[in-house]
Amino acid sequence: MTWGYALNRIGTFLLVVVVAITINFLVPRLAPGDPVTQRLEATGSSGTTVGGDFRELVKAYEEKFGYGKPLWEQYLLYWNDLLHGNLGFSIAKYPARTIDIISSALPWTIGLLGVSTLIGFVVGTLSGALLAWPGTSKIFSRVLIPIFVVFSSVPYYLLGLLLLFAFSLNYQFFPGGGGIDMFIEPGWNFTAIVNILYHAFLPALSIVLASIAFWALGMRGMMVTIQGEDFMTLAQAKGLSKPRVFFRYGMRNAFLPQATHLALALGHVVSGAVLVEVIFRYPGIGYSLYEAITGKDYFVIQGILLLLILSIAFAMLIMDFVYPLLDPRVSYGSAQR
Amino acid sequence: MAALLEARNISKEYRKGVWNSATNVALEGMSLTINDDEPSITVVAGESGSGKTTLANLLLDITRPTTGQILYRGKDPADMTAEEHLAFRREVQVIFQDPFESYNPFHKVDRVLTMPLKRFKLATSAAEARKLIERALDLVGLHPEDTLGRFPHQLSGGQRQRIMVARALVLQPRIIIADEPVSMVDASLRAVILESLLRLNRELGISLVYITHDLTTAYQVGDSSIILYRGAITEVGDVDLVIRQPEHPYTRLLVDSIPLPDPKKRWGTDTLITGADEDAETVSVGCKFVSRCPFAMPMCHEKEPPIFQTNARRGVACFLYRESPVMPAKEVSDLMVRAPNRPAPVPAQPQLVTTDG
Amino acid sequence: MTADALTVRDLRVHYHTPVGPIKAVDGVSFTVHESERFGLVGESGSGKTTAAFAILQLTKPPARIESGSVMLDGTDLVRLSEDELRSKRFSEIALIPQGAMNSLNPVIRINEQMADVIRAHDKSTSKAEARRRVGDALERVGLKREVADKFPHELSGGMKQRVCIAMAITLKPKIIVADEPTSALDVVTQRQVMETLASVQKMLGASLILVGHDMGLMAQFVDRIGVMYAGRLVEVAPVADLFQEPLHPYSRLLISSLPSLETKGNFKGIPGIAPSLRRLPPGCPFNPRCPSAMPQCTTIEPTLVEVRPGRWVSCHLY
Repeated sequence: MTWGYALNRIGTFLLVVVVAITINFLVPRLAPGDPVTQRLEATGSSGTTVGGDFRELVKAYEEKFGYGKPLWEQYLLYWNDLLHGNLGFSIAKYPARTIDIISSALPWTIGLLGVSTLIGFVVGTLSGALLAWPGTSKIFSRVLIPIFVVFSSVPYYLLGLLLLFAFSLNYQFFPGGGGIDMFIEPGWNFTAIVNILYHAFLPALSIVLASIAFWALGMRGMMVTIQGEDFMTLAQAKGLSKPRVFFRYGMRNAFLPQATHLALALGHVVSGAVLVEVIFRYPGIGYSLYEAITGKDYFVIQGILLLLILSIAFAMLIMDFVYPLLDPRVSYGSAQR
Repeated sequence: MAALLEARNISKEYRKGVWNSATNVALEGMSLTINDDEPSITVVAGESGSGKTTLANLLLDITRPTTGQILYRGKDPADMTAEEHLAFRREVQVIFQDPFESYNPFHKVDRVLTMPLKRFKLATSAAEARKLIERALDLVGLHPEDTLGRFPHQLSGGQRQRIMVARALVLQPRIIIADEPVSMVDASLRAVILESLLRLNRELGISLVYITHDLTTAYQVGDSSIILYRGAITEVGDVDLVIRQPEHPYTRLLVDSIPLPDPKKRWGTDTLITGADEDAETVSVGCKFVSRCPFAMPMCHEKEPPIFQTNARRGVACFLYRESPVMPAKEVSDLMVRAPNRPAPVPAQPQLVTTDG
Repeated sequence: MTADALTVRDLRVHYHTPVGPIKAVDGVSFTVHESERFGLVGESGSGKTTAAFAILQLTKPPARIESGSVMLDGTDLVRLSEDELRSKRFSEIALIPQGAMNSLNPVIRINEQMADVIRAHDKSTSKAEARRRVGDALERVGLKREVADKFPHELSGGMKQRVCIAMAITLKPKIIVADEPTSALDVVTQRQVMETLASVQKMLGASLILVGHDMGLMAQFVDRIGVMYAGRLVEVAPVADLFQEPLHPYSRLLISSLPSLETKGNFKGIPGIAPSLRRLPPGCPFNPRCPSAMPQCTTIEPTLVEVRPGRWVSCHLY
């Protein structure tokens, strides 16, 4: 790995981040007015009396964010705030800070989605590869493929609703929502963990079932393509055992594009699979985003969007460094022979 | 004697990557002139990496030279007006190697013939277009009933390639650049396609630049030849001399390695040490062939040999022939595009002249 | 009289398509003697590659070996199950593919790809021992031992081809099938690779089946040639005899169409186009293009008969 390559990739990452942040900054400000006044007007028009507290809030914002100030000054202030971790205040839940809302929701989302994505990936990829293998029994593939196609077409939130209906309302195996029972303190103790898993089961299942099909069908497609390659024929001609040809020659090559997709999928994890969290009232980023949108909580929305952009860019950066390890044809730095 | 297509001391270098300032020299020091009134057949022979495809791309203005100029009717394509450029594209045609990749598989093969006519506005009506197409197909030995209206996958490789030749013809070009036109075609068909190319030259006065790695077909088709190695000219001259009596060690190696379809004439009659690894590093000073040359001398490592004229109709870029005078560039250029106004060669035993030197 | 190493009898391979069967190989029979170099030559669509892969029992659906036998050491390979075949693969019959193409696994090193052949047939071989044998095989084909540590994309076409040769000889097979091993290589590398192949074959005493379309290469390399057309063998002869006096009209036309380095202006091709394998003409498949076609050629299929000692032709002229 050369310095040139590393710097190039990190440079691209930083560029993406800067551009994203700039757009994040500009777009809302292109619209006339500002969020605080809008909120004020909205509250006023709905008939509520606007109290003194609110006016102070407006003044404080105008001072701080200087809506009267020139744009470039606002831009610099924005950067200053960002680098200090200040993503603004939540208008709906004032005086809660955006950063606090995000950081308390983040672990829930990463836990639920991170794990579900990985489970879906592993199970999906393996079953996809098996489906493409001529040695697999026909019945297995005849049954699984239609199931997979059905699951991949059904949106994950619909699956979530169905699972909720079936196993929580009808049969009452699982709780109706939430991340953890109200009276348990989240922590690293056995009771808490079991309780968390209990609550996470249905939402995780809906995500796993929905995504598994995607991974499986993708992997199956790749495996079918790879099986047509010359080196697979030679592997068989060499008299190698079936498992060896399958894993070392087949999967090892078919896996490469899957790895890229995984990176992208992991980058999206923090988006929180919004609808699943809403359906299950799971206290993650998705749920926070939902609350922010309905509550017109402007700064929280912006903060979550920023988080999403950063995490995807970061996932791609990691992929840039990891991929050449998987595929020796892709080298670090300048091309070899 | 107006120059039609001219290459003036062109070279093409590629950078080896964004961070690497080292370059890969694909072609260097090439000068070539195809004249208006002397339709010639020039063979450019070499292996992969020799720069022959780069030369084709440069002549077709698909890529720009790093140094030097390509001129068509005296003008650089970059300076041409839209009209002149259109004329350039019409008059200089190309035939590529792969008779399948050249087609869009979604369209019938007719499209490949009708589209150029439409683009260059060569036919005023559909009937006239059809006549032009049928004439072109006839010139390459195809029946319109068997080929028009079909999709590429419904025809054989030989048919597809012949349609490509017809396509090049239908525009009435002055020059056709054929990049390995028969290497992906069956042996029994090669002769037919090559013969049609030869007829284009003899009957229609179209100049050909025939690019290949197969010296046997080169010998059959070409009048004059250029042998390239790693982007540099190693030998140039009449095909009879260059291929039947090669002088440059590389040409000798090439000719010697040709598997002759005659079991009595075995490989390796000319006892040359078969060169070392073909992946020898590209040398930046000296003769490019030095690492594989059995006759390498100290001076070969120091500077690149110029082209020495060992015969009125041949030049060799090798210090073994330093007794002969250096050939001026104009002479080299002339040699490459010799017109066929000379008596047919008498078939003789191939003689590989060994030099003592 | 040298012993027979491999006998192919009436091999038929059909591709089953929705529009009907394509008879890619239609009744091919020939024998390869011990330590002999046999060339299987034909143009595109002749069925030579399909036949070669059928001999190796590597035929993939929708193609299937319909009938026929491939006798090696008294065993019919066609009748064996995949498990029984596996022990014979590369230890008795090996394949040299077009190495310059995609024949090597791009993501694992050469050493591992060659060692797994050894270990597949003898699980007790240690890694070190396998590595040593890999190095030996590489040296025998003129490559340095260090090549074992490289990935395929780091090697040139000629080197990859030699790696494929080295892989094929590791277990000292009796039969080697080389499928157009030099088609993507330039003429100088081709010669080097063929010379390597020749020396390796001689050292092993193995029989070699060279599949290809380059008649020049066949002329230089093989002892006997089988000419295929439209899925059948039309002529089998010692190579010198074939070039001197081709008996079958197709062989005759094929040889005369080869461009020579001696005379110019010899542009003889074979008129017409190869028949569609789905709708073969009745009788002899070559009859539409044959200059010597007789009435019976359009109705009765000729069979391969030995018209002179060692010379087999499938034609009504004989």
